[in-house]
Amino acid sequence: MSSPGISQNLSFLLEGFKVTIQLTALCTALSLPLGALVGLARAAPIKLLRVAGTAYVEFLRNIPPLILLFFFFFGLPSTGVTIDDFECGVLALTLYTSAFVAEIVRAGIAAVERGQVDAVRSLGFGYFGALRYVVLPQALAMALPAMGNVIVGIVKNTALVASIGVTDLMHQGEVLESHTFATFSTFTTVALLYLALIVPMSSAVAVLDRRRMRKVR
Amino acid sequence: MRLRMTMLMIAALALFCGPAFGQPKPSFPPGSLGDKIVQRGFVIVGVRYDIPLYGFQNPKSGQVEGFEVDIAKELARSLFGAPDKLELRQVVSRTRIPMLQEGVVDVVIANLTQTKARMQEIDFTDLYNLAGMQAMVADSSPIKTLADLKTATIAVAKGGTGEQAMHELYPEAKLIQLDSHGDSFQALVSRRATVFVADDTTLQGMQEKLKGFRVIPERLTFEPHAMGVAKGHPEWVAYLNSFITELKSSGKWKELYRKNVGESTREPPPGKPDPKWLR
Repeated sequence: MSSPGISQNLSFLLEGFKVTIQLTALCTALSLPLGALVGLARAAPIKLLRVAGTAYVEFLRNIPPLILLFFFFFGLPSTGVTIDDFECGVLALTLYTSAFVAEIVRAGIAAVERGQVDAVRSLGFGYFGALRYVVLPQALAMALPAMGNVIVGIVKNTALVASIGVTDLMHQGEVLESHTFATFSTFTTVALLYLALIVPMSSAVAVLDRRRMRKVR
Repeated sequence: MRLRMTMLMIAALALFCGPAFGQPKPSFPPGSLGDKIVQRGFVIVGVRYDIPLYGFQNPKSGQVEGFEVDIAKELARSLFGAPDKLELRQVVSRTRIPMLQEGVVDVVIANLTQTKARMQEIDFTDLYNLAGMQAMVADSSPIKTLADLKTATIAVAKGGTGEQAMHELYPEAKLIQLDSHGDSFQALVSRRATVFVADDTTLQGMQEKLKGFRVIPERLTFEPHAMGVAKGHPEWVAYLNSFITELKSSGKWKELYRKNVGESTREPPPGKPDPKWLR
């Protein structure tokens, strides 16, 4: 085996790990606000917004993310627009994830008692005032545990970009495997690196959630 | 008169059934892989379902067909006297070697290039085909010769020999590695890559999609295609080698090649690869 040694193999994987982290950070930073906006639209008092929001969510949530990736990677260039493979990954995963975020935000809003909104409105607050001071603080707090799942999902879904040639952790794992034929040890290491990224993130969400529960009590 | 007729009929019957009855069952040492195959009554061969002309699942009939599939059928015929004593398993570039090592298949006949690194993992038979990598570009591309590939963006399939070869030949070129030859070709179609590199065996089958694209005639590499066998089964490799020799010398090789690939100028390759072909 022309194995260049374990440390060299590990640094090869770590190069991909860096790309996975960048991709995760960007998709999280973009899909949370985008999804929150769509979620608000779904709960808005204007029917057109609700319909548009529903269409957005149902369309993006029900398409396998790999197809979205292929659409941007292989399909988009035929319209004259070419964005690079990494950007395709960010775009596809952000759109896909934002649909789930939107659903969680909508559910959070719906979970706030209707009576509270009526009470705030009767005090003279407008729609946005009620949303800003009463509904959203509760809705987002309730959405927190579900958001943790979404972020974990983002990390795992990034592995799909290996299929469009982005040199992420999964891609590097596949290439390393084809050089060394060490399938088991390669993908065990890859899995451990994914865990190293996911576990701190989900524990952070769990800590935030516990703090919130303490406040509520 | 009647006797003569009967004799004649018996003779005709014997001739007809000859391959089935007359052929001695190949014998292998007890407990060996060859013996296991004979006891099982059929041979399990890993073939491609995604390389037209060589191993390809016809979307209309659902049948797997091609040069390598026909070789697998001949192998079943040589072992059991019947081409259908055969179980085909689909392999892709990345699964060929693991499936041998796991013992899922007895032999792989799947556009598998013999390389030095792979020889550490599995054993190879004699060659049954000599392919070579070629480059496909768009008709309008400024790339005319292989020298122009130096600064190109090259799409190749993961898990094949393309990636390593391109790294060695064109270290300056940008490489896009995708999951399949089809995806790599699509990268060329969508202008993400300026070049698509694959074995000529793969490119031959894409001929119908070729409108707007051309293949640079010079070969980039030699790709000796041999059958792959898990390590530690010399009796089985020896059997396959004599089968391949027989296939070439009997004219069957040419017949199957012509039937599937069409090009009649190609000759059966030598048994062993020239050491300088091996990467």
